[in-house]
Amino acid sequence: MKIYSYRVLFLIGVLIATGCSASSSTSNGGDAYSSTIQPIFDAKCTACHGGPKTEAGLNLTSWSNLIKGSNAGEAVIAFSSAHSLLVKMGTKLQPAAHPSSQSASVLSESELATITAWIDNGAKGPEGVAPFSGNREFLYVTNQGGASINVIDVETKVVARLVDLTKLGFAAGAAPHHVAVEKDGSFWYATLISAGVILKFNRNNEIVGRASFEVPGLLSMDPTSGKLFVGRSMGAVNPPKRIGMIDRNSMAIEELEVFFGRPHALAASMNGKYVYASSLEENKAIAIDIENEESTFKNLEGPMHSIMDMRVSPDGKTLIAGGQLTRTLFFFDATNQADLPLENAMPVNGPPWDPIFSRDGSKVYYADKVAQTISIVDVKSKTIEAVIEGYGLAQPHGLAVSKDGKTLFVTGNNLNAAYESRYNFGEGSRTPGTVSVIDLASKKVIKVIEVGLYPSGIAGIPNWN
Amino acid sequence: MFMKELARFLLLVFVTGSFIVGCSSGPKIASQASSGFPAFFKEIAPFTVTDSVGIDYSMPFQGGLNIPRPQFADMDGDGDVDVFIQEESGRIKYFENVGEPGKPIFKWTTDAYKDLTIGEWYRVVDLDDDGDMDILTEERFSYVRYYRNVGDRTSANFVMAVDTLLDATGAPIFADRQNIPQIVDIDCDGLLDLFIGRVTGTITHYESVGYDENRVPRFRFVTDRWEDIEIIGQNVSRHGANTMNFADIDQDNDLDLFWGDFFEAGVLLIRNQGTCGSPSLRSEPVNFPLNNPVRTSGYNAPVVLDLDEDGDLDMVFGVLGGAFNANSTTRDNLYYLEQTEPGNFEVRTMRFVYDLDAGSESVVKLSDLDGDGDLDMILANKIEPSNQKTSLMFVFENTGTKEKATFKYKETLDLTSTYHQSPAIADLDADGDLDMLVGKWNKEIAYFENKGSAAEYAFKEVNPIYEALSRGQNAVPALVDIDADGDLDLFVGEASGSMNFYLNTGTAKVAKYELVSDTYLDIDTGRRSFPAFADLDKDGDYDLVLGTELDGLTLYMNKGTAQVANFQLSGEMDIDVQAISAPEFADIDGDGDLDLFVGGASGGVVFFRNGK
Repeated sequence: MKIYSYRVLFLIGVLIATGCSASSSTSNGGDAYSSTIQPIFDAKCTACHGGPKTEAGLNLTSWSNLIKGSNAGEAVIAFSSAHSLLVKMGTKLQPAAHPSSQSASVLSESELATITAWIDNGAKGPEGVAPFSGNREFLYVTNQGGASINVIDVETKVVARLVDLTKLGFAAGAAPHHVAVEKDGSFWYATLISAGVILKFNRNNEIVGRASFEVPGLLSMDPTSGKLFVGRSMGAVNPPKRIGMIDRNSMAIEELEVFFGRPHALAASMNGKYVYASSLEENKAIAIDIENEESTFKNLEGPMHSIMDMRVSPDGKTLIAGGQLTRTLFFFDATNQADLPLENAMPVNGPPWDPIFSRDGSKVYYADKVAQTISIVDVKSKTIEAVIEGYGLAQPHGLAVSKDGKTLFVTGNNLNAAYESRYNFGEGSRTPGTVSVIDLASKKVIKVIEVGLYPSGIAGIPNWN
Repeated sequence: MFMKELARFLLLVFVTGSFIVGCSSGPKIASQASSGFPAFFKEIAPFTVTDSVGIDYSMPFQGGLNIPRPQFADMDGDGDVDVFIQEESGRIKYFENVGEPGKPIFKWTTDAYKDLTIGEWYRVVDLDDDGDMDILTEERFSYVRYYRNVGDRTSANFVMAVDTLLDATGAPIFADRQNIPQIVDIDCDGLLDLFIGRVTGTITHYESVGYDENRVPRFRFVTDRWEDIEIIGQNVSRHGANTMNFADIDQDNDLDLFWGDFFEAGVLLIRNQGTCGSPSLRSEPVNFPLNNPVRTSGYNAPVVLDLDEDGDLDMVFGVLGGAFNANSTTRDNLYYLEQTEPGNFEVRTMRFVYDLDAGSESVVKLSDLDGDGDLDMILANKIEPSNQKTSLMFVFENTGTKEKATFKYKETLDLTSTYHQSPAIADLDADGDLDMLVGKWNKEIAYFENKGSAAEYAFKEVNPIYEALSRGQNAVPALVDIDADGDLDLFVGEASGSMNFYLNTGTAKVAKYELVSDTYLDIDTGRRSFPAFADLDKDGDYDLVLGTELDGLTLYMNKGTAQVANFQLSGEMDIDVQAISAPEFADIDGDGDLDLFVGGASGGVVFFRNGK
């Protein structure tokens, strides 16, 4: 069964040789949508999903409306019919296919086949272009409970693509964990814990590079050095006491000693000179000068904190870290890059998970997986400004802010089934994960996007000033 | 390493006097010597080594333990349990029980049982119900491999039945690598149940639905949330690693659950409040044992069994090191708790295998530190478990003779108060006594001059940064007169795996080192380099042996002369060493050839005698 590495190479080769792309955006023929798809919707769907009625917020009177999705998120995911709600409603919905009303007609098998083929060909519109093509703002969500990565369109807040890693040759247990994105969106990177690899994708979600690394975990990169840093996940009994430093261009990897066990949290400095890492199993962090690999230890006082995550502020002057065991948010002076003087150890209301800065650096957002809330900390006053609750915040895990700074996206593991799926597709106890969309002005959850199993990492355009 | 010895004295007396004594003269394993090259044979207890309170290590050169994962099973059909211990990925140690009923004595037999390829975890279980023990283990990455025992109860013989265990639908079963699964018949239906801990503290349950055509068991997925168990550390989010074991601890004829977790310092017990046929494990976890819960650095791997055969259950658990300072348990990490009366457990030892163990990433050196004509031993660690602000060097005096060594703990040195103190010992100023260079965790090397005498050393720091690597970390110095000009030249290994060569352009009395190359011979071991020099082929010049992180001991034969070295890569020596191997050659038995001591990741020392 250990054939995935060869399969990946083979598939990459096939993709390159054929020019086939899971995100190819141009038409191969006529307007299939207008000629075959819209007539189906007009006949079977628009009575409820169109015109005066747009039940569930879904309007099927045109391709552009269809692509906007419904209140429940996307209706179709281009190239991924099996994961498209439109198809699942007609094939998997329990106890009966949609619509269940006897007065309405369900889609026939041939209609479903037509729609399925159209989606798998890119769900192209009248212009012959797949939805969400071009240089848009995307967020990438790693579904650690399986082997997929959701690509979310920030503007419409729907799943634009689904990267099925099994189709790229990886095992169903590949466990994608974290993700990082280039400033211009040209490339993005993901760690696959169980596959022991960091993948580099282009904007079309094609694999263009890779680096091997045992149980890769979190990723961090900076605007200047061209490096991508990778820490260790929990996925081994005794993982190496080193972090990885990857050349983002070539994906060549070098390992840097950190001396302590489980270097989980890490953050790259904004000036590209240092990388910071800390241990899950002792009160120790390290600052590594990446030019000469000289290191300085930072010992944290007090009981065991178990630092899970670290981030550098957009201006590069502050490093924050979340202490899980002591419910502490640490603020370090990152202007002294080697020594990292501790500025403040702020007690907070729960284990601060994945703290991130707002775009302007004035706020810190973090998840509390126990209370299932998001807290907002005012950096200047070191006070908790707001605690956000909301349906969909089911074991909140990863956070990302939109480029305009107005919207916060939060993954929810939902392994406790705190969030109940809108639809029963017969998947038993394995409930989908969530991405909760929070309007930062109103501090409300305005939408819940259903994604894959156990979503963990999420990232979009980095917060670099 | 000896800070707690006094407190453990009585305990150890009991231990060494009763059930965990190992072998007094261990088995030997031959290296397959190439032509004209010495053959090395591994010995576990070649000489007596005594700790700080006068207790002899029962198997001093076993090599240390950092992350022991024990399991017990009667593998030879003699009616008592033998023990497996996994310390490294890839293989498991096996200790045969050669004791008497109720008084087990475990004798080290091998570091690589049956040469089985073991992943990140293993389980010994009779999977095919044929009366002998089979083995499940991780297949990289996160699959489940099944070794079937095609031997019998007295003589195991394993073949790989399948490298990927499938569920009833034919889909691979995935088990997170860091979580050690368990297989028992939880509901007394005669069928095995497979339990897989998840990173989130939940338990996935599969139940057996029989066998496929090759008699490989098939398991049906039942739930990802068995008994709604969701064990997380107090106040901690979910992102852990775990282990589990089932045993009827309260003797009510159903299986209770023991749980170790990365974010849990102790061992948790969830009592089965149901029945054998209808288990119910929905009670609140409690810390075990109830009379005096254990606390370690966390991520404990428990095994519950009647070790002393007194009719009640005892517990052995390994400490893998969790969120509560894993460095503190790199030495004391294999506990035995005896149930002395119902519900009352006493910690009998924290070192079930009593060997020389400095903690982790040990470096061993042999030198005549007291000028009495025999070789004394210094054992250094990476980080001292009892004081994690520094590493330490432990001095063992040879109180025996040049031909028959006997080591006794003398004292502990902390010369530079930093991590990874790596000594190189030689007379650097030609005054007749031994001085010391000490490499540090970073690129620095300190110089300590012996201001005492050949008979009584007194190391005084002359220069804290006597030399420094041009870049990199973990300086590992070695002194040798590589050009036979009467003074000592300097080689320095480092974390990157390359080598640095400094020529002594001074004299035997006043050394002056000039860097010749920081990429000497373009050596690149991948990670880590620990240089040792020895004339292994007895041709009058020094050969070079490099310890490495993962590639064992690499040999460079000197094809030149004593004056002009010409090192040629000969390959990896056929000697089974730990990861992060740090070799030291010394004639410990006075027979004129060089024996081999090797430090390593687990913090102990492994000894290989040159010739039988």
